Amino acid sequence: MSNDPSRPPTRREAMRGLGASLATAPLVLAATGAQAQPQMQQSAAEPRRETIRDPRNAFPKPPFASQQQPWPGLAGNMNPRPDHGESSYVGSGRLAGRKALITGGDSGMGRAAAIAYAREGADVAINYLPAEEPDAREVADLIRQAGRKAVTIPGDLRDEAFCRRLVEEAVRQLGGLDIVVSNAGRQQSRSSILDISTEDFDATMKTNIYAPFWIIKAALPHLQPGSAIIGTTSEQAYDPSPDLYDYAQTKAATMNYVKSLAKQLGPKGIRVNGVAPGPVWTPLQVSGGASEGKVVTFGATAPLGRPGQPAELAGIYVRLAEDDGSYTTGNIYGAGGGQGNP
Amino acid sequence: MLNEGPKTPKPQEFAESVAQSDGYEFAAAQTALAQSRNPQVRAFAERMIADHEQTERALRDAATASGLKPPLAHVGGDQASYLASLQSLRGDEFDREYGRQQMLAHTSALTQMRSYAQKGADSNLRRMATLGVPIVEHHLETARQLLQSLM
Repeated sequence: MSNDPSRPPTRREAMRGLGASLATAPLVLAATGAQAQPQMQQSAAEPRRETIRDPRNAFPKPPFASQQQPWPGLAGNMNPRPDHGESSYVGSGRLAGRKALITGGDSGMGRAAAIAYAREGADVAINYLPAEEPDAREVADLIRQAGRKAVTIPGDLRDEAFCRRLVEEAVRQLGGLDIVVSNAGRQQSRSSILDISTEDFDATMKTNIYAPFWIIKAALPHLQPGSAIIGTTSEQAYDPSPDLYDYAQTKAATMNYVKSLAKQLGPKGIRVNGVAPGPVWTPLQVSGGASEGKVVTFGATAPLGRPGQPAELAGIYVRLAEDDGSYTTGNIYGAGGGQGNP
Repeated sequence: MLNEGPKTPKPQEFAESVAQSDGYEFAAAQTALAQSRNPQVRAFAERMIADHEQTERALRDAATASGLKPPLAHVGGDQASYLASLQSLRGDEFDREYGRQQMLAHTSALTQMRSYAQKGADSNLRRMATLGVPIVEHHLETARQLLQSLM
């Protein structure tokens, strides 16, 4: 494995990558350089990080350039490009031999999970909309570069028959399934309930509530004890924004199904958990999920003063899937930037 | 009908967002006058109250001329959390946070104003936005300078 040119970077290589990206940020370097230099030597124990990182400055801060994309948007066209851990995530075999299906695996938290899962040793199938193919190709390449199998299954989750086919196809191509990440979501900002058509409301419900129902139902017969189901919920489940009437209630439903299914499936040895992001820099926000004015100051009101990057949640998705987390079920793990929920 | 992707706000929505921006500016400036002893911060706050009283009037006139319900200045949405964090600070920390928020809030306001000035559906509100753009640009520049001087 260590001779494989496509293997994931070692911790040391990733740190070198970090050094290179710091060099392009003279302000950060000027602020920390003098004190940091003497500590850069490797100790025998090789600590996880040579320097402690200030969470306020770890990633880009608002204001951001004004930008809008047609729905569903591409991560590759965002400015700055979201960080999904492409150059930073380092695996250590925590999911060796596992087989994962991730919906919305082309961008955002789903992409961060896909990259991390592959580098932790899992084969990964991702689902996405056909319009998201350019993002999905990058993810498939990253999975293969980690030495794992990548399966790409584009399609619209609002269709029950497609959801069933998605699971069957993932099982067939991966040779089984033991991690299901139901992550794809639809979010469109509307300042008034009067502006939400029945078709809009239905599209949000189908994508965010029905699709997990159909996918989990189809997957369950394949899931052996030890398998994990993970749903992406949101801070919106607990503290909804006025302009996300339909989306926020689907996230409350997700938080809730995680808890009921955990009770139902615990006796079968299957764990069910949720991840609740705060404001995270993803294509969802620039393709109608947030107003133009909100995009340019996205994350500014969080106590950390910036939005989260998908990479900052990768470890949570790994934690909830891996065997070491065997007592965690029916729980919601958050990355909220200090806004308080869950 | 399925309606996906970024939207240009409807006239009433745009009017509401300007009123929210005014409401936050008033509340933040009054908080600054109550809690800050920094003369630059206080001068900026006084300027905001005076200028946003004018914006409020211009908004009311434009909305009335277009037969819309004139929205009242109020604090809403994201700006409520700006205000909550501002009100819990004192001294230099308060001044820096006020400066940071002013820079960010005016960045948002400018984005919305420019966009409506170009694409808005209502001609009275579009004219108001067009006249508002240079004022907000000036506020943003002054807020940046204020923030710089406080760092």
